[in-house]
Amino acid sequence: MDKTRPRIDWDAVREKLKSEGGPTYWRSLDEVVETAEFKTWVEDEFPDRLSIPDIDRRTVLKFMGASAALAGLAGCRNLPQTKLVPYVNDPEGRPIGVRVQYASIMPFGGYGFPVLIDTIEGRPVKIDGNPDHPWSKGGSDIFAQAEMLNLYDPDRLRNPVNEGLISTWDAFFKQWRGIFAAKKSSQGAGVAMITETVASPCLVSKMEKLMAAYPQAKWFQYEPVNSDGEMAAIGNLMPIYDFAQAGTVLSLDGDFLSGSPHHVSYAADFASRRDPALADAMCRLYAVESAPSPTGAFADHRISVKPSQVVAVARLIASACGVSVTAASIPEVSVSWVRAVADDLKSRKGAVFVGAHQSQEVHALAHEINLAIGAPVKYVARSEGRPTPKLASLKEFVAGSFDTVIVLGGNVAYSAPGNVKVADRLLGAKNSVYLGLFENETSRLCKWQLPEAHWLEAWGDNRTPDGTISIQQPVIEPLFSGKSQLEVVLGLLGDTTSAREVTRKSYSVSDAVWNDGLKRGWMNSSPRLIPSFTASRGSAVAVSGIEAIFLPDPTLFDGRYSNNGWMQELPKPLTKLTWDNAVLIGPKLAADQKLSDEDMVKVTANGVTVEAPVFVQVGHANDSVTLHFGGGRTFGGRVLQNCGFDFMKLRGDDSFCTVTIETSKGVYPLATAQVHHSMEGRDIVREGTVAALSTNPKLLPEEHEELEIETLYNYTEVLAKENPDLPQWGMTIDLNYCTGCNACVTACQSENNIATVGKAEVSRGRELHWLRIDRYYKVAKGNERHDIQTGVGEAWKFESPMHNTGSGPIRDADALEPSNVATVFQPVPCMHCELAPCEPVCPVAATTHSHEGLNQMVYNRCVGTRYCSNNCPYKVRRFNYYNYQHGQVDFGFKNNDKRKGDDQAVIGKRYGNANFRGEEDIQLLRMINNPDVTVRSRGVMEKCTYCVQRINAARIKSKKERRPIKDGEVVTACQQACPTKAITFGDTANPQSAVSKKKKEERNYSLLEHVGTKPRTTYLGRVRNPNPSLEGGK
Amino acid sequence: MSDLLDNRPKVDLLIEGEHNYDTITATIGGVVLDQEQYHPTNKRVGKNWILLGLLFFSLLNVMMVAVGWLLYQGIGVWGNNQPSGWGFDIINFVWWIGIGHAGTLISAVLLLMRQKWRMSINRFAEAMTIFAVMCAGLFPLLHTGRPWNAYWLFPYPNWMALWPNFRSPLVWDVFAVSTYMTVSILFWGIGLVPDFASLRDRTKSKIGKFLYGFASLGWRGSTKHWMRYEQAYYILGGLSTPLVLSVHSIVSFDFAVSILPGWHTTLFPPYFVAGAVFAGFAMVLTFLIPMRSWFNLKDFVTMKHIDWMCKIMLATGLIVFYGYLAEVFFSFYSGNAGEIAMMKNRLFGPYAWAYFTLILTNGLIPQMLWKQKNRQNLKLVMFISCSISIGMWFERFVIIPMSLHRDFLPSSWGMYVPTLWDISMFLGTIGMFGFLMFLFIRFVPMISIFEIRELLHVSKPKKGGHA
Amino acid sequence: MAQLFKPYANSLARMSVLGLGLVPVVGFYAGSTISRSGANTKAMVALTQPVKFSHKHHAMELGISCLFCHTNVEKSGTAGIPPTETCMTCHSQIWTNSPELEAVRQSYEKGAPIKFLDSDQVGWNQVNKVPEFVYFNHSIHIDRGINCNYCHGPIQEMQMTYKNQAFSMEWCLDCHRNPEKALYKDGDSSSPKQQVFNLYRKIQAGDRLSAREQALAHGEKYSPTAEELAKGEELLNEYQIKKKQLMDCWVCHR
Repeated sequence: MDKTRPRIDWDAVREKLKSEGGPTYWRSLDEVVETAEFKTWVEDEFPDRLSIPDIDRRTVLKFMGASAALAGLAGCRNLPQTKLVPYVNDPEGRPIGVRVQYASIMPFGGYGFPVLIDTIEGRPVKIDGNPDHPWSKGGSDIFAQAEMLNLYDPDRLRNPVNEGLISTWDAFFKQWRGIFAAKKSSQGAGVAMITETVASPCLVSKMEKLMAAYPQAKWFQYEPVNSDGEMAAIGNLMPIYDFAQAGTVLSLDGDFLSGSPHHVSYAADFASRRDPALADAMCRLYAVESAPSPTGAFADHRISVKPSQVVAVARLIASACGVSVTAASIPEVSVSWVRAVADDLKSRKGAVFVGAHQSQEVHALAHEINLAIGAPVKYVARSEGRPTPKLASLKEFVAGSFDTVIVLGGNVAYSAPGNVKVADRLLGAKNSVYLGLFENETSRLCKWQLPEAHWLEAWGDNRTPDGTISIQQPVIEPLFSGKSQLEVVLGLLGDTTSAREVTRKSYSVSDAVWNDGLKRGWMNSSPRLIPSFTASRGSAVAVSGIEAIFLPDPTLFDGRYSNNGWMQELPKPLTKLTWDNAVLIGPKLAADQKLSDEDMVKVTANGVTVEAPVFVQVGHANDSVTLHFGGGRTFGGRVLQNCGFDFMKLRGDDSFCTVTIETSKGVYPLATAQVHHSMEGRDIVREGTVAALSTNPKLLPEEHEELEIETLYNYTEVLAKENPDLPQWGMTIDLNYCTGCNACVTACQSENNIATVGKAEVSRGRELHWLRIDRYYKVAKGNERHDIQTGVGEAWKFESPMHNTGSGPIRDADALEPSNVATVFQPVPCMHCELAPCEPVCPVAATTHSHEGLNQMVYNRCVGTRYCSNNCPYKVRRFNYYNYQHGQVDFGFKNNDKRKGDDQAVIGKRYGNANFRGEEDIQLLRMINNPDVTVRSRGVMEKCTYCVQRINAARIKSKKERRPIKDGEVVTACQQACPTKAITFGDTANPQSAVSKKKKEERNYSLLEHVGTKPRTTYLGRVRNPNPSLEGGK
Repeated sequence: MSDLLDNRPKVDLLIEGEHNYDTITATIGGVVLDQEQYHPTNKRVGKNWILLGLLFFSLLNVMMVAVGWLLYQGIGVWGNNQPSGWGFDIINFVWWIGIGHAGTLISAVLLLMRQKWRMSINRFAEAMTIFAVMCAGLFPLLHTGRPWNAYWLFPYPNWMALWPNFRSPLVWDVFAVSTYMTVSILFWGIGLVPDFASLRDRTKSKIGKFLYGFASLGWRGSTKHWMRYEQAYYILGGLSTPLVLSVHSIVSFDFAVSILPGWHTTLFPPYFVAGAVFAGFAMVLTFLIPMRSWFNLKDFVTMKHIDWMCKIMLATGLIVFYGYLAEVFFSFYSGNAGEIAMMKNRLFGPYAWAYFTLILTNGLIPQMLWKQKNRQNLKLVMFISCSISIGMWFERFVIIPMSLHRDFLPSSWGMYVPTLWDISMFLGTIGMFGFLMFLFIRFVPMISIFEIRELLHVSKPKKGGHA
Repeated sequence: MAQLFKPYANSLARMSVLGLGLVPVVGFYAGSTISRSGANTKAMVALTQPVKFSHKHHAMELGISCLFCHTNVEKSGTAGIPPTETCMTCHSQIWTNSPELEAVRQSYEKGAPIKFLDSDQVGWNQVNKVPEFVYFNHSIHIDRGINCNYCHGPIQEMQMTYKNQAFSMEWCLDCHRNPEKALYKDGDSSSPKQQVFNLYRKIQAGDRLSAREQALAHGEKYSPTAEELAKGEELLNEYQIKKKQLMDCWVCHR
């Protein structure tokens, strides 16, 4: 490999760096020396890969029209001459153009998430959950999908760098082995290693080996999203919930349905208990929360309290469940509510789940309740290395004095609470090294920056939280000469064995067993069960006045996805905000403080002040604000430039604290994907209670009159009759299982080469997501729900193109009471209408109907009149207003940007597809594209295709095998990603198919039925299971 | 109205002042030839004319820049978005097409109705038709995401073995507009032949002689020529009469055929046509009133002409106004939730101001034309016709973005805001239109000379005439 | 003064009126003809390659099966260009120092992709190409017994490789609209797949070829007889080919 890589002209580098003025400026080597070698760097990483044709697909699409015009009536003929570069040696079992799947495990918060990776010609293109693995059950989440883009991110660290000068791994190891040798005498005193949680058995053993060699050396761990509260309460135990067994779930400020890959299997289990057919056995979900979350939205009963009040509720319920604790009642919760919850927990095999950020006492009480009621929760020993309370560990590091610091991954300098001054410590160290995928706030403080190998590039192993071991096998050579944490530790140990051997050796099993383990995605291993424990409650946190709660950003997590365009543009489940985080406040607080969306406020906590815009979130607890950390990163990539605000600075020791909010000057434009949040009494999302199912099985709204659409030309029958031998594709989306977790949206983006468009374009409503998740608010009155009134013809008040985050004074007084607000989600892809309004209006027949009932969109025929989109009642068609795929920048936005000091360049980076930096980046980013899907150019319409590339693949396969396509053989990307299996796809003409069965169900209905479009995508109404004894709702 | 329907031409009012063949040719032709002896009474091309011409020319250049930027960047430079796929582009298209309509009506319908009074304005109106359609034609082309492929809308045997989708109103537009363009040009050109001949005979410059000579196709004014001419003219008149109705009806189908509340209505064709004639006459007046005074053509475009045009505006205006009211009524009468929501949004939504501007400028202000006195007050007429032009533009704004921006699913509601480039495109086309008009005035007799002479035949001008 | 327009101006005028009608027609015809010609499409034009590889020599004279080099054609959408090692399986033994094969040897020694000796261009010039938005799948066509020569012309007769077709959509649709025209069975093949390669065996062995096979072999256009068409119709059912499906846009464009 290395011999084919171009040599680097080091002198040129140093020269350039001098002129550039040292460490701060350069971003990656090629910016420093623009030599031809570097232009071809990426390709040369893969001498054995059929290289991408030289000619740029989008350029062809863009100019072929012009050339066609030149060629008179030629149509698009003059394609530029392209080259075919064959292998030198044909790799085994990797035929060109055939997908090969590998099982691996994705590290997240230290623990692993089992995945399957699609590769084409040795190039990973898609990540999905491993259906055979109990910890994913085939579903995945936004972060697993987003890893795809992280791998190909042009901003990744590309070479070892020493004090701002390009260096090499050899140089690094040479120097650091020296350092360690020198430390031998002092037994490694003054050496500190900072990692995140490490659950990989291999890495742990090697770390321990290193620690053993240097007894005085210290190993610290930190990450902002951690289990400190839980560990304080129940020690080194990991509660593993079996929601498939739970008849009642109480969530105390916890979001177990989304927010982390480790919740995928929880969501799946939980969903298995939400089948309306279970009638009374259907699981009932109570949620107590401060900030609205998907779990709260899903709950049958939701109480909104200040973060510090959660413990009060916990006490009440605990005592009602027979746990000895002194409980004082609070206004937000009625006695009857507490009793009802307690009864359900006891009588219906309940389980209590707590948000990781909650205080020690809440955790303690929750697990005491779980023990008391015999909840379906098993407690296993934490399988990570040296289980440590993270914040304490970090403080210990700051307290001590170390001259040699090794930071493996993470981003302590950014993610440490404001009152823990890590930065000076890192700067102070004589020798310091940072290993990570990207440069970041931490790496710039260290002498050495080392490029980490992405987990798709390196050998290793990992454990899922329940302790099951999986092998992390690489699917691609390191793109940027990166090394994994394991390899670095090995290097420091002077161990020259390859990571693969080390991993293999650490399992004394036969090759057969090993290969089998690799194939299916996990090794046999049994976690240690802990039968019983005693929880320690500790002391409650004292908070007064307005409270702030610090939570990880729904799409950026703790900031590790801040440089990921997909994640920045992915609408956050509740707020639908993109490209920014904001101060979330409830309507009441907004009214009190005379605040409206996008108004700048000064938030002060622990003596630190941050200025940020507010966003009014109905259903948010009164007198409290939610601050998502993960935004406001200052360094480490071009996407994260000026996106959002850094609230971590405000955080103290606890995840919530007292804050003061004062209005500040000006507004800051926020971009939301949804402007209006009330269904305006229209029959859009159908829902009802399981009790009402018997009387109203169709879940029809009251004022709904049954309309018989009499058509002389019944297209459904006609299609079926005319094409008896063809499948008739259709989809159902069961709203009863949709948690709004966005996994489908990201999966679709990854599968279908959907571009990100940037903030300016999103705020113009030009985002390209083929599949969007609509979110509507309702008012819950007892077990009844009605739409929020917004006044005649008036939108959700406060709309303007740039400030269209659309909340503010609502006319419905009930909606201002946070606990009254209910939320429903509705994924909306193309409906593939049988009588599609888009088809007759297209002047060039670019969108037509296939004999299999697909509404075909042919990009290369589209001239872009946008008439189809106008005529689409579901507005699911997306138009390429710019050449987004090429990261074209919208120059128009600058005027509307209130932020000071934004030069055009920054705006470009921020508002264009920020992952763009010239041809070289495109070369790299193009590798992420799914070769089976056309990359759309400027000026064409696009939309959901039902993943037709997968249909075609299945068709060809089946034809070659002389058989019809099996049911379930075609799985759309969204369907595959959905943890709760809310989406079903298949042949509606086959009565035995899963989708036909779904469509036969009573709850099945088509969106906007009265328009008469006969959509192929239909919905199943949502069924809640409220407690009959709680008519009052509280 | 009675005047309009009465077939007996009020010839005694169609020309004022003492005139003979020579003076007529001199006054009208003089504007073009700019020769002292042909318009003794005429003042030379004035300063306002130059300044206004320059203004239009600079606007034309603004358009050039706007188009260049559009082609370089993409539709993104405009304000179009989801859900409003159409905005200024189609608004302006429909607006311009409408403006063109007076020409066809005057040349075709009034011709067949033997309305002699058309003779002094038809040349002018036809020219406007052609230029307006040119402006209009720009937008369907440029509003496509890939203009370089727009030729796919034409049916021609190609390598893709594909035809356009004849079910799509946009394809109907292609035919409607191109036919309209062709017929208008023919009509105009034929009408010009005799006048070109007279210019040919009078111009001094050699080039002028050649060009006018070429354009007049060897016209010698023989009886045979006149006979053929009349035949051709009336046949074309017959041909283009249906166009008056068809073109704008088809344009209205772009909306009527869709399923969108606010678009999906059978009311559109008649009320688009009426609106078009309405707008057309307004624009004719807007140009004619200053011109007749600048170029001293008051004798040929008399107050009576203006009076009649005002009446037509009033009549068509009432039809349009009725349309607005009917829309409101039907929306609520339909009981269709979508329709009602759409109308509520019109009346009380964020764009309500646009709707009421429309009602004011298009509905109420023109009512002033009921009074004879107002119809004779040129300043007022000028104001009214301008307000109508504005109103007609807002009509399309109300129909297009205001229906689009809030349709079936509240989740996809949004706002439409034009950008600088939208506006410059619009102003640009106005510049183009005006500039072409000015060229026309300078190089082609803006009033049909021979037809005025014909009038002279039948008219017995009284001394002084009346004003 | 002198007459501006001489009498002949009239005839000129008349002719120009005629021309007005004629010009667009002629222009249109010319345009479409030129654009369809090889001048525009580069059809029948051989391209320079790093190695002067002759299909005629290898496929015809030596009788090496297509599958020996184009290993993927049955499995995958793309037929695949053989890796250098494939060439070397033989050429490490024969013609070991022929200058023609220098590029191959260099590639094999350096472990670098094959490149032109006289320039720094890497790889082969692509001869047969459809645009990126067209998804053609070799394996399924082979599986239905569509012979290579249908699209690639008399490949076994080509010294230098050229494309026999412009691959216009028109041309693709010709088959996709009436696939029965292209379907046939030779007597002695067990499967349609085998029949594809059987043709070359026959050609090479000099067996008698049916009229259709003759046409195929020489890349000539063949219009099947009525009964052959009837046969094709039967094969449609046998192979479960759905004519309607073949005409759906998304079969080729996604």
